[in-house]
Amino acid sequence: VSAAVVLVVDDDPQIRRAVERALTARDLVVRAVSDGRAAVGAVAVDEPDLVVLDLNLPHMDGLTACREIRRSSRVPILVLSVRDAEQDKVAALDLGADDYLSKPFGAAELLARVNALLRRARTPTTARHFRLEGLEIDIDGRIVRRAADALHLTPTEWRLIETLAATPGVLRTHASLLEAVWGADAPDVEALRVFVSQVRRKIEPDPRQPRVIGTDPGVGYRWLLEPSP
Amino acid sequence: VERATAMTSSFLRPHAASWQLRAAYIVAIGGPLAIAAALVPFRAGLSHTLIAFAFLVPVVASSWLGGAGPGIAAAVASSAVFNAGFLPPYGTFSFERTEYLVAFLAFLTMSVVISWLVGIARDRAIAAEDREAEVRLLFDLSHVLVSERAEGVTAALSGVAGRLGFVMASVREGTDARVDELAFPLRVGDAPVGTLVFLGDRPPLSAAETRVLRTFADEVALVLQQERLEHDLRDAELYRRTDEMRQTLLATASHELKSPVAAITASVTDLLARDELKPAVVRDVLEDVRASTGRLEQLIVNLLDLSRIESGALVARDEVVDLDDLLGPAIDGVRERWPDVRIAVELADEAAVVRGDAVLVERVLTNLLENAARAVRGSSNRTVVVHGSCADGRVTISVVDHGPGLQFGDQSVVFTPFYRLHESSTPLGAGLGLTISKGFVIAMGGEIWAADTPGGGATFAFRLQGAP
Repeated sequence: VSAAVVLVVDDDPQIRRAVERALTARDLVVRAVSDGRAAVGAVAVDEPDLVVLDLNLPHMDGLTACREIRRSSRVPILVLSVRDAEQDKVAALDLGADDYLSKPFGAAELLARVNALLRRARTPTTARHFRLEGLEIDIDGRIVRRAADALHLTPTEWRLIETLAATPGVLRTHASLLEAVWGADAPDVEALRVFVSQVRRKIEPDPRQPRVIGTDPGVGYRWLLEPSP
Repeated sequence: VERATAMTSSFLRPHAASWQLRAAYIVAIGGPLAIAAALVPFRAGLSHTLIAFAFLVPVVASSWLGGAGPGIAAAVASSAVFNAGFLPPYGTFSFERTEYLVAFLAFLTMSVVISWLVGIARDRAIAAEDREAEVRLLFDLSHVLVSERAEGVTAALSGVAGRLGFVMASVREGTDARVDELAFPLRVGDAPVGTLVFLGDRPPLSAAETRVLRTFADEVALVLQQERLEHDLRDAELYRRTDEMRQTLLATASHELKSPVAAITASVTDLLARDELKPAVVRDVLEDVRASTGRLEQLIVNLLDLSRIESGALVARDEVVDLDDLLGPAIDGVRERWPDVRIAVELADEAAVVRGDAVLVERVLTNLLENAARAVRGSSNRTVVVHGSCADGRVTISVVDHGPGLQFGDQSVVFTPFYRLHESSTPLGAGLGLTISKGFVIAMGGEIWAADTPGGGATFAFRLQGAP
């Protein structure tokens, strides 16, 4: 297997070099550019396996670059931003970014996100079975067991679990979840929040410290369990 | 008659109606007599019908000149002369035959009716003319109001006042008017806008004139209200933009602060996570960490300076500053960072000393030089000229570059915080240097500005008091 190619896009030379150094040390091939227009060009030429994209860029901002890249490529995009504003992250995710990382970030966090995105791109998940301590979730069998007892779930609760479990580790924005679970007559984000906590009370071993459905405050939710064979 | 007196002093239709009335009565009495004098020698050979028609001429003429009054006088006079001079027995008012009586009465009735009808037609024509004059005047005033609007309502009003024979017209706050002045309250709906006052000696206004001016006052009220709304809108816009600028400042400052921190965090956590540390990698990381902390330090110093300036806590010393002493270190610092930028100094002797705060002047020079060096980096002409001249006891120092120059409209915005001259400017230029320079120069009682360099490029200059 040849080494994965990661395109790093950041206008700050020190951050660019830090990311480059951290990824190179883990046997990834890194290409680095410093503005949005160059990033769109590099995606077309280098065909990277992953793009690490800063949102605050000269010439073409990150959001525009994200949209431009998505016109022609399905390459996973990890958005970097020092902005606290959740709406920027949501905008990037809705434009086709796959995940985000807020600056400042640690190298371990960066590597975890990068690896998760690369792995998912290489081996699309087909696993439909998850285990956590006494909890067992079988998507195909539509069964959730806790300590050998089958739990009763409503059809909507099932749709939420199915939607999230289909993309383990991937952040799903509120909007995309509302669309996937309820379709056209989706309730508001507040209703989604209440609904998720209701599902958590049913399936999480400890609903106060969720290990099945994770929250990205103000942005969305993600499935935390790794598929088991 | 009431209208006639008003008209004599009126700016509406300045008719000489009294002479017309006098002329009408002269025609009414003199006309029949003249016709009689002309026709009496031929009265035997002329038919009564023809003579009667001739006598209708003064009736119609005097009615048209003076209205129904002179017309009826003419009718009576004509009838009398017609009867005495042309209906036998001549020279008397008696009738020889009954048919003469009938002819006389028919003529009298017909001429009265004609003079009455002509008078009505005449009055209507005059009224129509008056209306037209009113409307035309209102058009004129509106036109003046609108066309001279650019110079402000005051200029437009003085034009209108002149047109009406007043000395001047003005708008006053409030709605009370003195008894001895001509004032029109200005209101739009229920909202009072002010009072329109006409000043100057002129005869009292007629009803028509008052009507015109009242309508005009309504237009002025609308114009003023629109002006006030526009003013309010500008205020709101200014406030919104100030607020927006603060938001941008905060967002940019936090971005500029977080970026180097993010770089340091990423680099250091990367090292900590490695199993073995190669000295070359450690050195590489430390170099980057040093660059990031340098940026942080620079930014923090600038932000603190900015807050000192904005809070008014900055007090500039007033001392004699030798620019030659300051330029050397400032130029050395820039040469160290940008070795391929050439800096030339053209400082006139009398421009070498200024009054100010040496520390602040040095910071301003350094900021302007760094700004210029950064601008010419990618240009073919990488020369920056520091030029100093003295005029009227004030020294002007210009830093002239031939880089890409200011973009259109940049002249004043370049001094706003975090403004970047070029989109491609890297975060290494924190975008506070010019803002702080401006604050410093103003604190020393001077001024600072940006301009285009003739032939391309930008010139930043500041002016301080000279020290003779």
